[in-house]
Amino acid sequence: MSILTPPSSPALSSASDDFALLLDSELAAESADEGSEPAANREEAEDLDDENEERRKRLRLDSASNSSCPPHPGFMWGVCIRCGVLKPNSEPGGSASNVALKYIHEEFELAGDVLARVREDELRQVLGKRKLFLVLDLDHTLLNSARWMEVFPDETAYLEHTYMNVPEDKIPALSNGAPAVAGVIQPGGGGLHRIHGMQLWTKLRPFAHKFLEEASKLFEMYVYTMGERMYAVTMAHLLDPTGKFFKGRVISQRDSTCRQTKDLDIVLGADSAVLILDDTEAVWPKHRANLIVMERYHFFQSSCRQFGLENPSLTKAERDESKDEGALANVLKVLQRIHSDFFMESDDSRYTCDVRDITSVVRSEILSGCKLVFSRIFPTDCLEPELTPLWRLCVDLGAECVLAHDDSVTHVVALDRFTDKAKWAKEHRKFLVHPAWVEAAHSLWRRPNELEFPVREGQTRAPVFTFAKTVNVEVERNREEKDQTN
Amino acid sequence: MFFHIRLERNLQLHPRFFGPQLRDKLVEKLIHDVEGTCSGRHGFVVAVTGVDTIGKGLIRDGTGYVTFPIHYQCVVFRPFKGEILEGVVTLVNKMGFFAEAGPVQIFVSNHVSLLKFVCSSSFSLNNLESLQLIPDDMSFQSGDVPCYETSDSSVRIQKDSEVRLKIVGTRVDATEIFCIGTIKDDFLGLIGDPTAGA
Repeated sequence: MSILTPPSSPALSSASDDFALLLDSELAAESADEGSEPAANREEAEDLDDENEERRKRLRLDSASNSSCPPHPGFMWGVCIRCGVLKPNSEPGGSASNVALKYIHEEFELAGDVLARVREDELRQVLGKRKLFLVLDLDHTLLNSARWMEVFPDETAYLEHTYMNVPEDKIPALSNGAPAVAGVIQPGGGGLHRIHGMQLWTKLRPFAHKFLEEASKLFEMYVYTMGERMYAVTMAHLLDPTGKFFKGRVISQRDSTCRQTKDLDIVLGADSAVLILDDTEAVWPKHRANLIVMERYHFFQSSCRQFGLENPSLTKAERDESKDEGALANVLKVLQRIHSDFFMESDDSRYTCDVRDITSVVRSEILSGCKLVFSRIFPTDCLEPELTPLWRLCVDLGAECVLAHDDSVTHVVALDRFTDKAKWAKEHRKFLVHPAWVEAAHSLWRRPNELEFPVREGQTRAPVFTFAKTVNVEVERNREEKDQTN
Repeated sequence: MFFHIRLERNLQLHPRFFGPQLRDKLVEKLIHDVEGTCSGRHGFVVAVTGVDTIGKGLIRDGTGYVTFPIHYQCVVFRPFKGEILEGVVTLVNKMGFFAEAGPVQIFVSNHVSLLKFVCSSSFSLNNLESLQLIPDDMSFQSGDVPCYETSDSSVRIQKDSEVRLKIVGTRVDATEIFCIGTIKDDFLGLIGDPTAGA
C-alpha cells in the first residue's frame, strides 16, 4: 500500500494491514477483560508471600480499584498517563482545569486536582529540607542583556577594553552544556559575556554567582522570565553552568499560563512559601505580597534608553555595582533574615507561617520610629493623600505619616526648600529629605543616610536614580588584586 | 511488535541516474527514504529486507522526473496497547521517566505506576485517593543522579537502567508514535532485580 494515500483509504488493502487491524481489535478486547478480573482471587493466592510483597500487592490492588479515568490525571503527548486514551477534544468542563507544565516537558499537562497534590507534596519535601522557594527574574534583576546592534561603537570599545581584554586567568572558564543555538560564548571579566549565536552582550550583576550559591542553601530556586525559551536556557546556563541551582526549573514566557503576566500556578510549591525577586511589580498582579522589588540593573546604555531614562548607565559612567554592597548582597541579607524568621517561628512539622507576613514585618522595620510629614508632594486638592503610592510605601516601610507637623515629627519630605514645613524643619533640626530617600529605603532595605538626599533648589527630580553602591571598575579591580595578594 | 510486511512506494528519480545502475540507484534511494521513518499505520520501518518488483517508470509532465512504483518487503516495529516491551531509561524527572524501546519513546508517569516508589532527588509520592499510603519508612536520599527507589533501596530505576513495561496507550500520528506505559503489574519493573513484581 502506498504511503501517499491516507490511512483510511480502502483502495489498496494488503494482508499486513488486515493483520494490524486484527491485532488492534484483539488487544483492545483483551485489555477490557483484564480490568474486570476479580481482585479477590489475586489476594488469596498471595497470602503466603513474604511481608514486603504482600504490602506491595495491597498497594497495587488498592490503586487498581481506585484508579478510574475519567477524570484523567494528566496528559503527555495528548495521551492520558493513567489509562492511555487520547485526550478528548472537548471535555465536559474538565479541560479548563488542565495546567500545561511546559517547562517540565513540552507536551505535559496535569489536571488541576493532581497538580494541587503535586504542589503540596513538593512543599512538604522542600520545607522538610528547611528551604523555601525563590522565584528569580532574569532581566535587570540578575543580569542585563543588550543586542549587538543596540550597543554603539564607543560603548563596544569600552566593553572590550575594560572587560574582554583581561588576562586569561581572571576569566572564569565556561563549562560545556550551553544550548547549541547560543553558539560561541566568549566570557569576559566581571561577568560580561559575548554570545555569538544570539548576537548578545550579557552582563551578570556583580555578586550573582555568590548570591545564587548562598541562596541555594536556603531556597529552592526557579527562574521565571518573560523572555523566550532559548534565551532563558542560555542565561540559566551562564548563571548556573552545572545545573545545580535551576535544573528543570527554568520558566520562560511560553511556559507561563498567561502571556503578559507571571503567576505562581506552575511553580510547584505553595504561595505561602514563595518569595519573588523581580524588578517589575506590574508583571505579578496576583502575587504582590510575595514580591521583593529589586532595583533595576542598568548596565548597558540601551537599557536606560529602553526605559526612557536620561541618566547615564553604568557603562557610561564607567562604573559597576559594588560586589559586596550592591543590590544582590543587600537582598541576600534580607532573604536570610526572612528564612531564619520563618523556620524559627514554625514547629518542626507544622509550618504554619506565611512568608508574606514575615516579609511585611521585616519591611516595616526599615523606617520604624520615623514620623513623616510631606510638603509640596501632594497637590492641595488631593482629597486622600493616604491612598497615594508614596504614602502607602512609607506606611509599608513602617513609618508613621501625618498631614500636619508637630514636635514628634522626625522627617519632612519635601521637594522645595522654602516651604513653611521645610523652614520649620530647619529651625527645629528635623531631617529635610527628598522623596527619593523613601525609595532608597525601599531598595536598600535599611534607613538611608538622610544627608545623601538633600532638597536642592530648583531640582525636583531625584539626584540619583539607582541607590545601590557603585564603584569605579578599574579602582575596584586594583583593590581586589591587592586584597588577593595580601 | 515487529512485523515483516510488504509495502509499496512511489519513488521519483532524476534523469541523471538513468543508466546501467538505475535499479541499484532506486534501491539505494528507497532505503535512504524509508529506513528510520515512521508512519502511523505501520510503525517504524526498521530495515528494508528486499525489493519485490519495480514497476514501469512514468515520466511526469512538466519535469523530467520519472516515478517508479516499488513493492518491497521490510521489517517494521509498531507498538500496541497492552504490549509488553523492554526498554532503556533515558530520562528521569519528577513527573516520571522516559524509556526507549528501539525507536519508540515511552513515558511512564509516577502518579499511577510507581505508588511504592520514591523519587530520590525531589519527589515524594502520594496515593491518589484518600488512602494515605506514604509509609513512614520511606526515606529520601539526595543524589546527583535522579532515580526512583524503593524505601529499602532494593530497587532503583535511573538513567540507563533496563525496565520491562506495558504499553497503556498509544497515540498514532501520521509520522509519529507516542506511548504511555506502566510498570505497575506483575513482572514489570526493573529487569535484573530479584524482588521486582511477584
